[in-house]
Amino acid sequence: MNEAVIISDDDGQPGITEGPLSRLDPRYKGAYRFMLILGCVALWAVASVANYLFLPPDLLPWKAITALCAVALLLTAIIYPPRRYAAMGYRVDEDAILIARGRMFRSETLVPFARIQHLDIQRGPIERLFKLSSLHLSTAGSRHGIVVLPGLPPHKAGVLRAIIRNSIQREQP
Amino acid sequence: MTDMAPAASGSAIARQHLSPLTILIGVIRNIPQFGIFIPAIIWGTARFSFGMALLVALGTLTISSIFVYLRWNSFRFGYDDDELVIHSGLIATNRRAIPFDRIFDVNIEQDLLHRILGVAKMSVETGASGGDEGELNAITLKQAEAIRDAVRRYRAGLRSPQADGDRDAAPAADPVLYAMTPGRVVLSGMFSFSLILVAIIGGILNRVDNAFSVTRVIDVIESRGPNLRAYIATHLLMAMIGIVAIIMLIGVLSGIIRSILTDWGFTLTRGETGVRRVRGLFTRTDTVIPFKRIQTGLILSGPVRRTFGWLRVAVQSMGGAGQDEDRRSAGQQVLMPLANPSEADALLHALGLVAPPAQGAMQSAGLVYFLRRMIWMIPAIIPIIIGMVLDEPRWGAIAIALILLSIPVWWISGRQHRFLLTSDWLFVQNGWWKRRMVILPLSKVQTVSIDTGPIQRRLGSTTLNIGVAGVRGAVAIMDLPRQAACDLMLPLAARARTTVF
Repeated sequence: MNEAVIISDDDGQPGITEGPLSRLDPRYKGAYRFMLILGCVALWAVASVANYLFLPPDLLPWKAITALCAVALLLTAIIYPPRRYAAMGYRVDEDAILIARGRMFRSETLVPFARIQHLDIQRGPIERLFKLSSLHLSTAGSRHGIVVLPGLPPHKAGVLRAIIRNSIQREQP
Repeated sequence: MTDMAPAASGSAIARQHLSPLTILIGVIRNIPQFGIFIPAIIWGTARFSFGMALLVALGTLTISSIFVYLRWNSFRFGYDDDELVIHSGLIATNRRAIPFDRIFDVNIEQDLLHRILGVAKMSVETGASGGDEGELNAITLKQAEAIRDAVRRYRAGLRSPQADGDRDAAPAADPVLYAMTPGRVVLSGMFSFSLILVAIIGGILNRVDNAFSVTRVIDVIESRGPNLRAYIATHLLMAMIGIVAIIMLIGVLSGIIRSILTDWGFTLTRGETGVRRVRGLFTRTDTVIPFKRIQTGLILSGPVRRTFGWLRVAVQSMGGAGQDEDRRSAGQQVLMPLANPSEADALLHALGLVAPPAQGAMQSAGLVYFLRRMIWMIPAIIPIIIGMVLDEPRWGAIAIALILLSIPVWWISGRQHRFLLTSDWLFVQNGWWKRRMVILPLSKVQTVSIDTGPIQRRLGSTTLNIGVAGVRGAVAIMDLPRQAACDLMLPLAARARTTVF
């Protein structure tokens, strides 16, 4: 189901506590890149309109804005998605799931199956384009009320859901 | 309204109206809005004469009173041995049946108006989302207590079905866990120093500066004799001490006043499903905090309280699915505003919690906590450099003062941030000025997360965040060495393996 891959952080130490983590689907890189591009285009549109409406016309020529946005776009869309992809992972235990994300601010969250109130498999429009889905786990804790595991191909999401359901049902008296 | 006896077992009939005094209360409540505010606006803008405005006031008040009457008339309730029914609605009617099965307990609340008229607002505490499901506002206090007794009899009957014959006997009085004498209420107020009155007075003085100013007062005093200004100038230190003393006095006074208003007659009794807390001088609140909803215990203390050996005990309660009424029992609930350690221990045991360990038994956050926060202070060097460059020693002085001040603060905070994990409990303590000890049963752990920031990575430490239901934020153990945090993750989540709730 998943090849075990060790995710290392900058100083070469293994990043996660109890062993290897599974990676997300590689298509997640593409999906995230797409989202970033859309975001940058939206930012450019807003900046241009604001510039036209509010600032004196010679202060910030339209070309400068376009150039700035293009540079931002290039930097983020090329550099960031693979780094984010490499920093995300998950592992399924017999009664809990560990989800890790983030490089600079790293968060590794352990959610015991018994604590999952309900789980959703969500597919946004961009995710659908790239044939991915994400798992949303709802817990009662207000800190990690909803834990999200993105970048899963639909069959894998279904398998995970089944594993979690079976584990919960096994526990019911 | 005279028929207070419940109907025979079976489906209850909603026959009783709320107390007619409800209409009076409704009208009184409407007076500010319909009787004064709206006509005042009309008078101001449309330039009616005062007599006309009065007429308009009477008119709006009458119309709103008619609605109050109609609403009273359309609301009926009734109850029998095992359920409460409510018929309500002017245009779209709604019949609601709440089985006693679903009711944990009954909350009775009286504000000043209620108390004068001898009525109360009764609401039921259900397991799921509360909302205004079962709110009767207002019925007589006797009726409210009768309904509460009926619910309790039902729940007692559930526990021991053979006690059916005792149905008519009044339930035994609940054991009192904690009660505050007036002296203790005042003492508690003294410890709750509050500068809010100072702020209010300052604001008022600011506003009325033209009509009444301190300089004019001084002028008046001076004309009578003593040369106040000169006196103040020569005894500046005394004057400042005097002012500080006055501010402190006002702070203590406002703390006492607040404590008297909210905690007068504070009584904690142990009910069947939860802890019942009655308190308040003008607004008397009677709240039940169900045992099942209690997530953590809290022991709070400020520096003055601690010196005299007093504690404040609270619990964090889950609350329902976020409806307004359920908020009453949600969040942090103070159960003992001022208690000594043995009283606190007794209450914790009664709640199924445990007394916290001694300071020495707990592990302290250590050096990393201090180092990390000192690293945060590094940007403070910038003003020093700028100050030196621009030859403005003031900026540099302020920055240096800030850094020097934060050294002992962070060091002590780091020492005071402690935790201890046993097989069933997690204790986390925080704070050097106001101290806060969280008592968390491991069965209440929802999620465990290890979060590492960039500075923490370099220092080799992490923050362990434990998600708990109904607790804003998380219970956090900060700046733990990474390996220790990883080792704690499993034991913390181990209890969560078995379903609870």
